[in-house]
Order: sequence, then structure tokens, then C-alpha cells
Amino acid sequence: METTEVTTDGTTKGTPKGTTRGRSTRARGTLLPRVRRLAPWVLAVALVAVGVVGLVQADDVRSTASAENEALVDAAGTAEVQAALTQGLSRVLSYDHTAPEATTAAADSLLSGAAREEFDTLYAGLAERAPDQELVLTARVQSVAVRTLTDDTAEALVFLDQTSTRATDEESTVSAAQLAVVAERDGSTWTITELTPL
Amino acid sequence: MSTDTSIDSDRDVDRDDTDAGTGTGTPKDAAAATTGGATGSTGGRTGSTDGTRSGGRRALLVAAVPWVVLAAALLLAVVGGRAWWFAEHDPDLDRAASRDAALIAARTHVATLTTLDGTDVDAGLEAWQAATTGLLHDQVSEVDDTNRALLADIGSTSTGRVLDAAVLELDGSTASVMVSVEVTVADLSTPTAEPTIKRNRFAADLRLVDGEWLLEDLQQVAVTL
Repeated sequence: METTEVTTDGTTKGTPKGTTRGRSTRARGTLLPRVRRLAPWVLAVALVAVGVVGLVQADDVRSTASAENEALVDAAGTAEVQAALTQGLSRVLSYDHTAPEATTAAADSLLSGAAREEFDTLYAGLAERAPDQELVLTARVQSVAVRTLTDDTAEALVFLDQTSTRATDEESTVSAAQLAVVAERDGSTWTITELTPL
Repeated sequence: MSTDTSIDSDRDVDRDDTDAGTGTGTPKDAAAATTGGATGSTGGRTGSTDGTRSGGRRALLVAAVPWVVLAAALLLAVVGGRAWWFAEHDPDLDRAASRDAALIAARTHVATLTTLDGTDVDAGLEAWQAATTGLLHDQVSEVDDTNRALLADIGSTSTGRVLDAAVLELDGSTASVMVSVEVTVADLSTPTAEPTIKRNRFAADLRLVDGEWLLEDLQQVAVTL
């Protein structure tokens, strides 16, 4: 077929020189421009693939549970949770029979959800016995370590000391407590939603 | 068939001419342009009216499309590659990873050091050695035969279970971790007796030694009121 074609070209041009020219024009005319036309597209597809793989990989690396946990990575945020829990828990877990409203007020501002329910149960029993016993509870947070921290939730382990003083025994009892705490951020304040003694 | 292909090749030639901005209309003209050198170029010049110039511009735009797409693709590749590189080399992510590694090690090692099988003190102490470094490691290693015998004579097995733990401080190759442990002590002489269960709070200091977090210090956290 090709030979026929070239012959036709040759006859048109009438010279052997024309035949060679015809062949070279044809080779360049079909193959090279096609490659030249396709090359940018092939390269573009390859580059898009590289870009997409890069973005997906970057997202994978950044969206692991470890990477999304800001505890100790965000130093300021971690310190903020530590401060909020230290201050809040000292108030909520302290009690003076002469001023019980200080404790409930602290609970109102700091506790919600399951933590609030647990507090209410605990407090009901306490309020019943407290006036007769002249009970005074003093809580002091020793340390707060933040296990997980995201934009609006935090989980922490709290070591807390509590002394209870009763008029009847005239001496105070000291206890060491360990609490697992879940807190949620509401604007600029942290609210404790779960409070589990370990 | 053969004629068709030859026209096809002519068209290609024509298109090439168009790319150059001189080409005109029919394949016949183009064929003429290829064969008859000077005549062809004259024909091309004659044909360069306003219409053909705008056609040439359009062709130029069409020719630019792959290169524009290629440039956009290159940009995407650079953005993607950069994002990946920065994610892999993010110091925050490294810190998060070492925090988690220290926490896992603390949980494992504190459980080991609060566990001792009264019937196999040697194996217990060996596990303690493997979990510790520095001064604590020396102390554990220096337990002599007399003390081993004493430990065995107590006749109880303690089993430590970590209830919760969290990293308090992290500084490069050192970490301090708070650990809440439940220790169950079973009296070996009276197997029927209920084991005693204690809740202990520990402060564990760890050090990164050859890529492994090991216990450097383990202290009970006493009440300070």
C-alpha cells in the first residue's frame, strides 16, 4: 500500500527527489506531530497523578489519631486545660458545711452531662450528713496530665488529694484520688463532661 | 484507500503550515505549497487576509492549550509534593509520635515493674532489668541472692495493671508520665484467700535509649496535704 502511495506522489512530482521528499514529509507528518501533540498531555497526566498522590499522602500523615492529638504538641492549649482542671476540680471537690453553695456554684459552672449527674448523686448524700458531722472537704489537685487534646475536647488523668475533717472524729482523713476526666470546650471555658474515679 | 491516506498526509502538512501562521484553505493549496516552493509561498502571502490572521491566532491559542494544562499540572505536582514533604518532616508530628511512643512504653514498663511472680523472682527481675535504664536499672541489677531469697520468702505474687496513663512532660529524649495502677497481691501460701487489690499512682520518668523508651525512675505519688 505504501509503495503505491509513494508512486502516486512520485508521479505528481515527477522526480526521484520528490519521492524522497514525499516519504520524509509523510513520516514527520504522521508520527512526530502526533508524539509532539500527545507528549504534553501524557506529562500533564503524570504530574497530576504526582500531585494527587502527594496531597492524599500528606492528608493521611496528618489525619492519624496520633497527629490529630494536640496534647503536649500545642503547649499553650495543654497548659490551658491543665489550669482549668486544676482550678475547677479543687473547687468542685471541696466542701464546707457552712458554705455548701460554693460547691454547687462551682458544679454549675464546671460540670455538665454525666459528670454533673454523678456529682448530684454524690452531693445529695453529702449534704444530708454534712451539717451533723460539720464536714469540711478540701481537695488539692497534684497534677494533671492531658492524654488527648483536640480543638474542643480533652481527656486527662488527674491526681488529687482530699482531706476530710469531721467534728466527731476531731482529726482529718487524707485520701489519694485518681480521676479520669473528659472535658469539652465551650467558647473559652472548659466544661467537665465525664469524671471517673479510678 | 491510497488516495485517502495521501490526502491525510497532505492535511497534516497543511496543519503544520497553519501552525506556522501562513497556511490556507484546501489540501490542494497546501500540496501546491509543498511541491512548488516559491509559488506556494506567494500563494500563502496572497491569502493572508484579516480572516486568516485571526484563524492563525485561534490556532495559536489551540496550540497553547496543552502547555497551559501542563503548567497547571506541574503546579499541582509541586503543591502535592511540597505538602507531602512538609507532612513527613513536620516537627509537631514527630513530637506527637514520640509522646505516644513514650506513653505506650510507660504503660508496659510500669506494669512490668509492679508485677513480680513470687515463685519465679529471677525471671521477674530480668524483666525489670529489660524495662529500665540508668540508676533504676543499676538498682534492679544489683539485687543480690540474699535479697532474691527474701523476695521469694515473702511468698506473694503481685500483678500490676495500668488503668490509665498520660504524659505530663516531654522534652526530646526524656518524658515524665503519670500512671494509675491497680496492683493485685495474691498470697501464695493461702491460695484460697481473696487477693488484695490496691490502687496506686505513679510518676514514671523515661529516657529514650537507642530508640527505645526505658524507665529511669518510678515513684509513688504521695499525698502532700
